[in-house]
Amino acid sequence: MSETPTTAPETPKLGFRHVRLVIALAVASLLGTFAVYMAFADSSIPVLMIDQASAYSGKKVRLEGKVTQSAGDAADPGGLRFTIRDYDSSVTLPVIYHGSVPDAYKIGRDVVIDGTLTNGVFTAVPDSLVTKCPSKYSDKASTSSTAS
Amino acid sequence: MALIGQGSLILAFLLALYAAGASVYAATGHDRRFLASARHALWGIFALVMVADAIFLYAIFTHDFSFTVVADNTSRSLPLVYLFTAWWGSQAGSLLLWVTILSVFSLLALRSTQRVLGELQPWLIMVLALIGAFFLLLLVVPASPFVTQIAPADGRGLNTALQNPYMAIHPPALYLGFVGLTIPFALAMAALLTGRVDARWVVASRRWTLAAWGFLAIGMLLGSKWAYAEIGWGGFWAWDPVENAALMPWLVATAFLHSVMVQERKGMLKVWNIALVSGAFALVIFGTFLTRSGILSSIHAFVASNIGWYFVVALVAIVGGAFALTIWRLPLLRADQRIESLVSREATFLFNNLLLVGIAFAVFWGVVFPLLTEAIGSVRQTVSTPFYEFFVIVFGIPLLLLMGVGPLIAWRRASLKQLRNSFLWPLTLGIATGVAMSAFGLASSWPSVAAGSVCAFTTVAIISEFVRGTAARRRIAGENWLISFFHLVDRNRRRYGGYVVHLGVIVFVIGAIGSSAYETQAAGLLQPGQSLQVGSNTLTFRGVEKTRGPNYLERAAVIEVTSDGSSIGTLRPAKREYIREQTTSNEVALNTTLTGGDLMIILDGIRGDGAVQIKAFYKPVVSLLWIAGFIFAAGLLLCVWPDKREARRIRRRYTEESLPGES
Amino acid sequence: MFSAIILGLIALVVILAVAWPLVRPARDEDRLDPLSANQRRRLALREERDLALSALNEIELDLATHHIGEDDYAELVADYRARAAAAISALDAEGESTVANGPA
Repeated sequence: MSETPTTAPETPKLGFRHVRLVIALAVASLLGTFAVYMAFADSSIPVLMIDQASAYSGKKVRLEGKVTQSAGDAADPGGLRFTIRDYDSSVTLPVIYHGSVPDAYKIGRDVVIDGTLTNGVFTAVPDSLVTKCPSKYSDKASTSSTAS
Repeated sequence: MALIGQGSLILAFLLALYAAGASVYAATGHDRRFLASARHALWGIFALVMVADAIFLYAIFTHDFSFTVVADNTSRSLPLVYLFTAWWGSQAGSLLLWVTILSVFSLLALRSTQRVLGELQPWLIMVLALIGAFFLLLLVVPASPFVTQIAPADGRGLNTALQNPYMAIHPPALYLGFVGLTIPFALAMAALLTGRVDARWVVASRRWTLAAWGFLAIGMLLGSKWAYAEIGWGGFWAWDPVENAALMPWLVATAFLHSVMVQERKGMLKVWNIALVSGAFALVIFGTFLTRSGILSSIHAFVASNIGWYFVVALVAIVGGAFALTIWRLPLLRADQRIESLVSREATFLFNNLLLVGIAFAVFWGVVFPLLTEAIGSVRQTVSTPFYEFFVIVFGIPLLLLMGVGPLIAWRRASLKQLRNSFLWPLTLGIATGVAMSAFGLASSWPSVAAGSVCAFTTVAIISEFVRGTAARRRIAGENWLISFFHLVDRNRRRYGGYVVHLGVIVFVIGAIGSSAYETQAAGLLQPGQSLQVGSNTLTFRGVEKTRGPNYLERAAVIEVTSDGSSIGTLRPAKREYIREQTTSNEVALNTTLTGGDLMIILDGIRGDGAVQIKAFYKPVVSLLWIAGFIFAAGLLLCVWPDKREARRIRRRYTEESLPGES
Repeated sequence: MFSAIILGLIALVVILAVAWPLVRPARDEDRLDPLSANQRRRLALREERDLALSALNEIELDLATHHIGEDDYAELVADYRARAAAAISALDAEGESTVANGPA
C-alpha cells in the first residue's frame, strides 16, 4: 500500500492559477454575451399608454388601452378596425389589425397590441393582439386595475 | 364556520412564532423540553391547517357562497372535480394549499433528520416555522379564504382556462416543488447557524432537492401541455412571467443538484452550494411575489394592492439573512481542496453552475426589465421570445455538451489517452449527425444543427456509460449482460438514474427543436367544402356543429383530414361559451401521428355566413416533449429510491455517538 | 356563538399539547447539548473514512470503465487508501469499533 507513482502524468497539469484564469474568462464571456446582446440586438420594445404613442411615431411599440369601437374582420383583407383608448385620458388611436383575435376580445376590453404608428394610424403586427382580462386566478390586483 | 377557519389560521400563525422562539431557546438554553414543545407546535400547526382546509373545502362543496372566495371561484353548475381544483383557483385558496404542503413537509423533514442531524433540529424548526409564519400571516391578513358576505344565488364560476385535467394537477405539482425547495434551504440555514457546514446538510437534503426538482419539472411540463393543448396558440412555452417564475428556481435548483456532488466528494464549492440553494428558494418567493402582487401589470397596480409588500419584506429577510450567515461562517466554508485541472469533473460541474445560473439570470433579467425601466422613470420596455431564446440557445447548447462531457471525465483530472478513447464515438457520431442533418435538408437554422449534433454526442456518451459500466461489471462479477446491467444500476442508482434523466432532457430538446424549427403552418378562410393544405395534409371543412355541455355551449368546425389520399380522421376545433362565467374559450383540435408529430387546427372565428377562419400547424416529433416527462420520472424514481445499504451506512455514521467512550 | 366555542376548544387542545412537555421541571436528561468536541472529532473521522471508502469504490468503477488510466488510478488509490487508513486508525485509537455496530 505504499507504492508511489514514479511516472509523470501524461497531460501537463495546469496550475491552479490557470484554472482560475479560465474560470474568470468563462464568467467574463457570460457577462459579455449579456452586454453585447442588450446593446446591439433589437431586443426590447417600449410599452406605452395611448397618449405617449405619438412620441414614438414610426417605431415599433406595444400599446395598452381599452377598445371603444370595433368593426370588420381580422381575417378579411381590410382587417379588424378598432379604436383603442387610453386608460386615463381620452386620447384614442385607430388600429388596423390582421391575425387571430383572442376569445375575450370585445368592446370595453383592455388589450395589448404591438405595431407601428404611421400618419396617425396604428398598423398592428399580425397575431399580436392580447386581451388583459380579469381572469388571472391568483392576480387579485389586475381585477382592481381593470375595474378602472 | 368561517370564524373557526379564520381562528385556526390565526392560532397557527401564533404557534409558528412560538415554535420559532421555543426552538431557539431549546438550542441556546440547552433545554430539550422546549424542542419537544416546538415539535408539538408544528404538529399543532398541521392540525389547525387541516381544520382550515376542511372548512374551506366543505364550503366549496356545499356551494356556501357566503364565503366570498367560494362565490368568486365556483358555481352550482361547476363539475365536481373542478370544485376540488377550485381550491387553488384563487389567491387565498392557493396560499392555503401552499401552507398545507409546507406544514406536512416540515413534519416529514423533522422526522427524516431526527437521527442524522440532531444538532440542526432546533434551527431547522426555527427556519421552517418562520417561513410558515410568513405564509400564515398572508392568509390571516391580506388573503383570507374566510372573508364572508351576503350569499348570492350562484357563484361566478371558475376561470374557464382552469377547467381541464392539466390544470387540476399543474398547480399542486408546482407547489410541491416550490415548497419542497424550502427544506434544503432550511437545512442550509440551520447548518450555517450551527456552524456544521460540512456535507451533512447536503446529504440530508438530497432527496428533498431531487423530489422538488422533479415536481417543478413535471409541473412545468404539465403547464406546457396545457398551454399547448388547451390555450392553443400553437406553442407550449410563451416566456410568460408566470412560467418564468417556475423556470428560474428550477434552473438554479438544477445547478444546486449537481454542485452538491462536488461538495460531497471533494469538499469544494461550499459557498456556491449555500448560494445556489438560497438563490433557488429566494427565486421561489420572488416568483410567487411576481404572480400574486400585480406588479407585472404595472408598478401602479403593485402599489395599490398590499400583498406585494409582504413579499418584498420576506425577500429582503431571506436574501439578507442568507448573505449575512454566509459571511459570518465564511472561514468554515473554505474549500478542502482546489480544482487541479480544467479537464476534471469538478471543473465540469463548475462550468455547469455558471451556465445554468447564466440562463437563470437571463430569464430573471427579462422578467424584471419592464419593472426596472419603469422604475427609473422612463418608458417601460419589455423583452419577448427572441431575447429568451437567444440565451437559452447560446448557454444551453454548451450545457448540453457538458451533459455529455461530464460523465466521460474522471474526478480530479483526466488524461489525454482516456479522453481520446471516451470521446471517440460520441464525437464521431455527433459530427456525423450534423453532417447528415445538413445533407437531408434539415439545416434550416444553425442552432438546430448545433443542437442536433450535440444531442447526438451526449446521447452516445450516456449510452456508452451504460455499456462500459455493464461490461466492467460483467468482467468483474462474471454475470451475463442483463444481470450485470441490473446490478450496475442497482448499486449506482444515483449515477445511472441521473443518466436516465439526462436522456430525458435530450428527448425534450429534440421535441422542442423538432416541433418549432421544423413546423409547417397554414391559415385560411374556408367555406363548406373548401380545403387547406398543411404539409402533406389536406384539411376539408364540412360545416359547423353545435353541442351542449354541462356548463357550456360549443360550436365546432367539422374538418376532414386526409394525407396523400388516405383518411386521417375528422377533427373538430371549437369555440365554447361558458354560460355562468360568460367567457368563450378556444378548443384546439389535435391529432397525433405515429411518428410523434401533431396536426393542430385552431378555430379562429366563425363568420355569419358559415365560413370559418382556421389556422393549422404540423409539428413534427412534438410528442417527444411529453414522453420526456415519463423518462424524467423514471430516472428520478431511480435516483430517490431508498437504498437500504446506504441508509444503514449513514445511520451508523451518525448514531455511533451513543457508543460508550464519551457520552 | 357555537363557532366561538368550537374554536375555543380547538385552541385549548392545541395549547395543552404544546405546553405539555414544559409542565414538568427540567431534569438532567433534558439537557440539549451540541456535540462535544470529542464527538465532533469522531464524527468527522467517520465521515472522512466513509468518504475515502466510497471514493475508492468510485475509482474502481472509473478504472473498469476506462475513465482513468493506470497511473492516475494508482495515485488516487494510494491517496484515498492512506486517508481511509488514517481515519480508521484514529477511530481505533479512540476505542471505537469500525467494523460492527457494537462496542469495541
